[in-house]
Amino acid sequence: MLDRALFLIAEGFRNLLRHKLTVFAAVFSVFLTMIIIGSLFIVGKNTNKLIYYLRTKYKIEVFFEADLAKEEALDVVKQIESFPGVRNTTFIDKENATKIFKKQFGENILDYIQRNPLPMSCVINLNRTGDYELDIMPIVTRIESLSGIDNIEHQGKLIQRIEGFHNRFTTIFSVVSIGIILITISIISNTIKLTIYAKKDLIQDLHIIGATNAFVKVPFLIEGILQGFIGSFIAFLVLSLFLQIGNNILTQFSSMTIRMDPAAASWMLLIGISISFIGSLRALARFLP
Amino acid sequence: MENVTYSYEKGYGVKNVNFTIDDAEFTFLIGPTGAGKTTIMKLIYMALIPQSGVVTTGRFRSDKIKKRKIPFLRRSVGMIFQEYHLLRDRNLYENIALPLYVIGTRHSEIEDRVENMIDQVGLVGKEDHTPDELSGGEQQRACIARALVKDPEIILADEPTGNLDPITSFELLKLLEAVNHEGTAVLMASHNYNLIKGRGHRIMEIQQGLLRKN
Repeated sequence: MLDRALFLIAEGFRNLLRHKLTVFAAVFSVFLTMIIIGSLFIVGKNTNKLIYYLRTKYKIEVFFEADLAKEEALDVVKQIESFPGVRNTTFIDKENATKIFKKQFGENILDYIQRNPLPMSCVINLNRTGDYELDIMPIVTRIESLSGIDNIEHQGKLIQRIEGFHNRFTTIFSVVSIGIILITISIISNTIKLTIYAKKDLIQDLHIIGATNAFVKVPFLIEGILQGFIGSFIAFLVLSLFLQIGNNILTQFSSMTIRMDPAAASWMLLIGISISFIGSLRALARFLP
Repeated sequence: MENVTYSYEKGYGVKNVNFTIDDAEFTFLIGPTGAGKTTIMKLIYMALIPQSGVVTTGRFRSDKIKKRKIPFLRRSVGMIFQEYHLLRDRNLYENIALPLYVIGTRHSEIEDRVENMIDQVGLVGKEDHTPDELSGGEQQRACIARALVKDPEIILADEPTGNLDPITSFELLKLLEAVNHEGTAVLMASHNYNLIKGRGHRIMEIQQGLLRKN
């Protein structure tokens, strides 16, 4: 039993050499697919990282009415802190606002104007919900309903645009990946069908000497797995090389680098092998039901 | 075979055929081309299932066998064809060893059995040759070795000398007789009456699907 299993595995490997042309076609199909899916993976992962970073930076700035007393303003800040989604707040009174002005512009505003025109304000940091889409507008609406608020500055529209872009990208990524995977499965099925068709005499001869369908199928399936592995491994190497070259160029202009998630390599191999395996199964099901 | 009838869509086949082949018996099946010789062979190894009647090959009956059991029946039958049916992408050794892997023989045993068989059919030194590098006679000997290596109960030889010259054909027939002498039943189909006459074996004659002489 073990000898037979080893023989069938060895046959799968030997088939790679026996069916060179069709093996090349199948490996090339997997390679192209995995280059596209791998690129989408890298873009997706790096976009996610950027989105995560931006989400942790989201904040709202509230300016209080000029005639509001400091105690009243602090009461409002306390109310804001209790809102869901608010992580913490930083209250800036008039004196601190002057210091910030001086720090930013290098001049003391009180030297030019007799009274301090800078309003009290509060910076609201939001929960670091990097993993989830952030909807800032309900918090803004609640703050607007409070009394004593003069103006609210926030990046709501920018956030919405970024989140919208991210959602569209995720949808397109999923649809394109599924489409490519289905097309590749079909291409590989047809390639393997051609291999099997070319080998129909061999299959007939194997049946004549008493081979079961499983005995005939297993080497073809192993061949399919190996094609998937080779195609996706080469795609991984090529993508890594391109990333290396790309990063070398990128580092000359910016500190940003594009990275491939270590798990992406495993996923690429798994997807490549699965595509090829399913393609082989489909082809065999047609010829050897 | 008991009252076996099989007809193809375009007609012919075999009609109401009855015969038995005993253990270690050598039988010739003669008849012109298209008489039904190959159909009888296919019925025995159950590539065809009779429309009526029953074929019994060893412990398998055509009216009871399940499709998935047919490979197991074929493991007890050795087949030799006019067109050889050797696997062209494998060498002689691999072709002969293949049936042993199919039946699950241990790897350590396979080498001895294949080498013995190559010796028995006189092809020592040709182990690494692919079928295309062998002559017609050598290919047919390789087929005999492949059929015999799994110790079958019966050898079915369908026009095995059809592509061979008279001398090689005669040598092949003697080889099959030697195999039979060792205890394996042989059913050999041929339309070459000159080759088989006077050999002292049973002769069945088939014409237009009917067994005329048994």
